[in-house]
This record gives sequence, structure tokens and C-alpha cells, in this order.
Amino acid sequence: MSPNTARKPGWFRPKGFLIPFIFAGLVVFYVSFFADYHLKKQVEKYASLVNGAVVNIGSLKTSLLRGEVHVRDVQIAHHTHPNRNLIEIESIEIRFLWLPLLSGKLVSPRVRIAGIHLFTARDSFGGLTFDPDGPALPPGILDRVATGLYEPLRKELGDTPLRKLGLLSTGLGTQARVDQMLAQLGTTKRIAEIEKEIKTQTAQWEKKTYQPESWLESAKDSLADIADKSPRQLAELRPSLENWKKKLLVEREDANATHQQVLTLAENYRARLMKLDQLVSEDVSLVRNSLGLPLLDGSDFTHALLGPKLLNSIERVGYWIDVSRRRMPTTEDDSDGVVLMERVTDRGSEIVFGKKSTYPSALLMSIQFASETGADAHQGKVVGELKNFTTDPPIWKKPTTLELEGDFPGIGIRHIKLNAAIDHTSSVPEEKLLLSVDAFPLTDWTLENTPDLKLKVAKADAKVNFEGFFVGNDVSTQWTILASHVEYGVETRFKLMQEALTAAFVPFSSLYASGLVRGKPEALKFELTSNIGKKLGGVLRDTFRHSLAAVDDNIRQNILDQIEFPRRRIREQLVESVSRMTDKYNAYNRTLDEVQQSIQSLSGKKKSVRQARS
Amino acid sequence: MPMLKPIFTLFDLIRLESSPLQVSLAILLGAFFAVTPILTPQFALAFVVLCVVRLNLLATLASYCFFTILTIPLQNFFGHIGRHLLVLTPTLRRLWAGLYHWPIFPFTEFNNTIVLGSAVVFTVISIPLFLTSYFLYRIYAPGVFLRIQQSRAGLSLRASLFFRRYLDHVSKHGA
Repeated sequence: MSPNTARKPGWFRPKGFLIPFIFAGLVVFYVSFFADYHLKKQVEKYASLVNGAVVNIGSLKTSLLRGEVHVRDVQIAHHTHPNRNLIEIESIEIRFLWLPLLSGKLVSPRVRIAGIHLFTARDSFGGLTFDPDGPALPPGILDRVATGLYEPLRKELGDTPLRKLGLLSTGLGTQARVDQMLAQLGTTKRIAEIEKEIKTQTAQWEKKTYQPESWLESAKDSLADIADKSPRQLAELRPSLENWKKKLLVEREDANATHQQVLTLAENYRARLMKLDQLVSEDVSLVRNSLGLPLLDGSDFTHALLGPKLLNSIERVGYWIDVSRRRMPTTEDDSDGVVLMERVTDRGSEIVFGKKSTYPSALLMSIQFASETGADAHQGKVVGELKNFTTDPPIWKKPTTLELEGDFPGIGIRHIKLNAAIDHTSSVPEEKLLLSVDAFPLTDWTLENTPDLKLKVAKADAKVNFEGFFVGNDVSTQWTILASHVEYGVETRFKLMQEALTAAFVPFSSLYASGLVRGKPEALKFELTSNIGKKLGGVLRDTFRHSLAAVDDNIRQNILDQIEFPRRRIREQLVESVSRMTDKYNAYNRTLDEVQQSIQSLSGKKKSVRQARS
Repeated sequence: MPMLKPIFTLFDLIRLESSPLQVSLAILLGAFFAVTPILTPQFALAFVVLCVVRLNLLATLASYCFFTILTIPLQNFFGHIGRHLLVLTPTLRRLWAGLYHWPIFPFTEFNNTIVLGSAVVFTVISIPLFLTSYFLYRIYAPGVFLRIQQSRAGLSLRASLFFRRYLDHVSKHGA
């Protein structure tokens, strides 16, 4: 393989320079013709994942030499209404600095956003289709909900009893449910307790009580056949007589006390068996709750109507807070004037070293919103500024702030005011969000949508106010919604209910609802009030009062039927045990009497001998 | 014959740069490629070196494959070393912070725990690796080549038409 003809060339291969040059040419070719398209696709993909609905970009052009990026026609789909865009932006102009780019930092002194449209129709469906091979984002708050973090709240707010109104209207048999829940009922548990106690008690009674003690047995034997005993034998017995007398007295008292105790306990068990009827009411509630029937004695149905919406809002806000905290992390390490931040990647961790007077990895110093109303009714006037938007707040040391005001007269939205602040500069993250809209049209706002009842606000003029403060794990939010000229839409398959609800809601033209949520995610406290919840409660109570009472009676009767047989059986067992104990007591007493008589007769004999001697 | 020319050129590249120094440096470069992320300046620089300097390509490729497989289970170890240097050594912190804000330097990904850890390990083992491969190649390579030539496969290859054509190519081009 190594022929001797091989000559020794020098160390360098001049033609080898061609290969890096070819590579460099390919890179320039790629950047010139394909990089923008790939960047656009990547941005669309990532933004869609974060938004939870599709984000489309019309065009994206970068000019590295001029330090500019032009983005046109950005459409951000609404996550719950995927046929509409939440926001559509005509143009975004981003300027970036060259020098930080050489250090791998994207620093933009100014971003200008113009031509903002709200709620425009989409050409294509904006829902996200699940891509199992797609990049996985770290679990967000929605995922944590699935793991049970908000489970109690979800259960409380999400499980609306109005789903089961149909059961009341059609009537329902409760026998099967009572049978199914028998083991969980308080009465059944109590019966089992009493039965167990009686069994234990009876066994104890049988074992220990009314058993003649050794002295009594010996006394009985010694005193038997006194008449046949010699005077000497009698004289030997005499010293024990006083002792036996005392013991006999004590024994009789003990036997009486024990018997009294047996009778008292038996009476106690009888009383407890009788008291079972009081527990039945609790069991009725238990069975009724398990059936999911609405508690019409509670006059406010706000939780049932607005609870799921509140939960969705909490989750959505929580999700964005979580995204901001993951993408703009805080740090606790700030020694030697160097701020240390760690980003976990799929290959090791990336450590970011922040210093004073240096730029963070990505920074948008000022994003200016400047949109004017146009020919399109969905386009509105928006003025405001987002400042200090950065991936490394502890390095930049300035909180991100947003101040925005907008008007969309074409679609009836007046005076949107949005103030937000994200302060992740210290170790405890803080976020603030204040939003108010003075007027907006509320159309087809579904309050309840079950097979039994559909209730919605078909049309209304509304205003809303929201305040939210998030500090570390603490959440504090409150909101109010006021609507006038409200037209309600009521639909139910039960004629009685349809008539009652129509009569109640057609002339009702206002809507007021407010709520607040406070606490930590694992134990959130919330309050909800609304005039519509009270109104609905009143109507349902009047309509279904008799039906619900009938259901309660039905359940009660079924439970009573179920407990009657074991109760009677226990009572009979008790009577039998007491009677057996009484027999034993009487027999024991007879033994004691016999011994006492013998002692008395011996004492009498002694007395007569003494008299004869004298 | 023209169709075989690229293959013969490749054979030349593999055959010609076969001095112990060229082979051991090629092994070192292969190990460097194995521990360095692709889209970094140091990787590009090493690639230019590979193109321009006459090193044994086969040895580079073999070394790259070997060390890539070898380092897969050592990622956590590299990560620990990198973390120790980047995070747990306060005296070095100002140095890293300075380098982090230099132009171009952040693209080396030195602030990644695994990249820094593997780079440090490579630096530590580079001289022993170079010396070991140099002397092993020098001592054992002639014997190994001779044995290959005299083996049945080597003899049948030498007797093949392909090898005769290659010898013609060598004598003609003097390579």
C-alpha cells in the first residue's frame, strides 16, 4: 500500500483553502436566499406553541448590513375562537445594534408596530394540531392543572350542578344509587359500629361477669351440711364467718352494679339505634350530592354560571405568567458584581454572566405601538410603549413595562387601557396587570351550555375592569363586568323551565358580575357574585322545589328501608343478650343468698349453743 | 480509468500523509472534533486546519468516530467539570464574565457546562494522547502494514486489477 515512489510533500495543501471558501460561499448563498424563510418558519412555529394557536407571518426580511428586520402581516389566532385572529398587525419594524450581535446578543433600541386590527376573520383554521414530533416546551401551568395543582378549585368551579337539571324534570329512581352507596352512608357505618360494640361487649360480659370467685366456692363447700358437722368443725369455721360476711356484701354490691351497667349500656345502644333517624338527613344530602343535583336552597348560582369561565381565565393568566417567568428568569446569585443565570438546554446548562453596563442576551428597549383607525372596521387607534423587554431582567436591572391605550370604534370597543409591569430584576418575581375597557359589545356570551339548559347573553353593551397582582407564588386578582341593554337567550328542553326562565330573563336587561381570587395556586380563595346567579337561583328554586323535595323523600325512604332490617336484628340481639345476662345475674344472686343463709344459720346455731351454756 | 480517479485521489490523501507526526496530529484533531459543537468558531477553525494542513484524513475520521462514541457516556462528567469551573469557582467568575461580553467569544459556547468541561478534558489529555499515538504508531505501524500486505486479503488485493491500475496512476502522476 505504500509504494516507494511516494514523494514527501510539504505540510500545507494550498488547494485545501478552496474548501472553506466553498463553504463560506454556501453560507452567503443560504443567508441571501433561504435564511429569512427559515427564520420566519421558526418564529411562526415557536410563537404558535407559546400562543396555543396558530401565528402566521406574511413576510419577514432581514437586512444585516442596515441592522433591520421588517415583518409584515402578522396574524395571531384566538386560542378559543380559531376562526378569528385575536390580533392582526400590518407591520413590525425592528432595528438592532451590530456590535452586540458580534457577542451573540440581540439588542434592539426601537421596534415600531403599526396597523393593529382586532378580531379579524381568518382565511385558514387557527387551531393548533398536535405534533408528536414537534419540539416540547417545558410544562406550563395548564399541564400542572392536569397534574392536580388546581384540582379542588377545578372541581368546585367546573362541576356545575345545572347539568343535572333534567333529572329533576324527568324524575329519577334513587334505589340503585342508595344500594351503590350503602357502604358510604353514615347510618350504615353507625349500625356496623353499634353491632361491633355490642358483640365485643357481650363477649366481655359472658367471659368475666357473675363467675363465682374462689372464696365463694370454698365458703359454699364449707357451709354445706352444717347440721352434720361436729362442734369442732363448726368452731373451726367460725373465724371465717365475719370475713365471708363482708365479702358477700361487697360481691352483692358488685353484682348489682354490673347488672345496672348492663341495663344502662343496653338502654344506651337502644337510644343510639333510635337516633339513626337523625343521621338519615345527612345521608340524604350525601346521596343527592352524588347524583349531582343542584342545591336549590342556595340562592346564588354565580359559581355554576361563571366558575368555569373564571377557572379558564385563571389558567390563561397563569399560563402567561408562567411563560414570562420561564423566559425571563430571576436570579439569586449576584456576587462580585456578576449576575449569574442558568438556562437548562437539551445539552448541558448555559450560564449567562451579566455585568454592569453590558447588554443582556436579548433586549428590546422600546416597542412603540402607533396604529391609526383605517378603512377596515377592525383596525383601531393604539398608542403606547413596551419598555425594557429582555430575556435577562437581573442583568438589565429594569422592569418590563407596558402602557397602552386603544380605541376600535369600528367594532364598538372604546377606550382600552392596559398597564402591565413584569419585574423579574430581583429574586422574587412580580407581575402587575391592570386592564379596563370602557365599552365593548358582548355577543353570544355563553353562561351555561348543557343539554338541559342553554343560557347566554345574546347581546349587550359591556364594560370590564381587571386588576391582577402576582408576587412570587401569591396571586391577587379582581375583576368586574357590567353590562346594560342585555338580551338573554334561554333554551331548555323542559317546558316548565323554559316558561319560567323566559318569564324571568326576558325583561331582565342588566348584568353585573364581579370576582376575586387570592392566595397561592395550591389553595386559591375565590369569591364570585352576580345578579344573574341570584336571579337564576330564584327561578330554579320556584320551579323545582317540589321535584327536589320528592327526590329527597324518595332517597330517605330508600335509606330507611335499607337500615330497618339490620336495626331490628341488632335490637333483637341486644334483648337476647340482656335477658341472658339477667338470668345469669339472678342465678348468681341465688348462690349469694344460699351462702348468706348458711352463714346466718351458723350464726344462729352459735347463738343457741351460747344460750344453752349460759 | 477517469471514473476511478477520484477514488485514487482519496487513496492518495489517505496514503501520503502517513508519517507518525501527521497521523498523531490527525488523531488529536479527530478527538477535538468529537468534543466540539459544530456551529462554533473553533470547529470552523479546526476544519480549515484539516483542509489546509496535510494530516491523515483516515486517522482523523477514525479518531472522530472513536471519541464521539467514547464521550457519549461521559457527558454528565463533562457537565460537572464545566459547572464547577463556571459556577462553583468564584475566582474565575470575573474572567468568564469578561469573556462572555467579548465579541465572537460567546459563539464558542464556552459558557455551556458540557462544552467547557469537554474542552478542559481534551486539553488535559491532548499531550498524552498525542505522544501515545505518535510512539505507538511509530513502533507498531510498520509491522502491522507488513502483516496486512502479507495476509491473504493483502496479497489478493495486490494481485487485483484495481491495485495495478492504482500503481499505474501512482507512477504516472508521481504522487
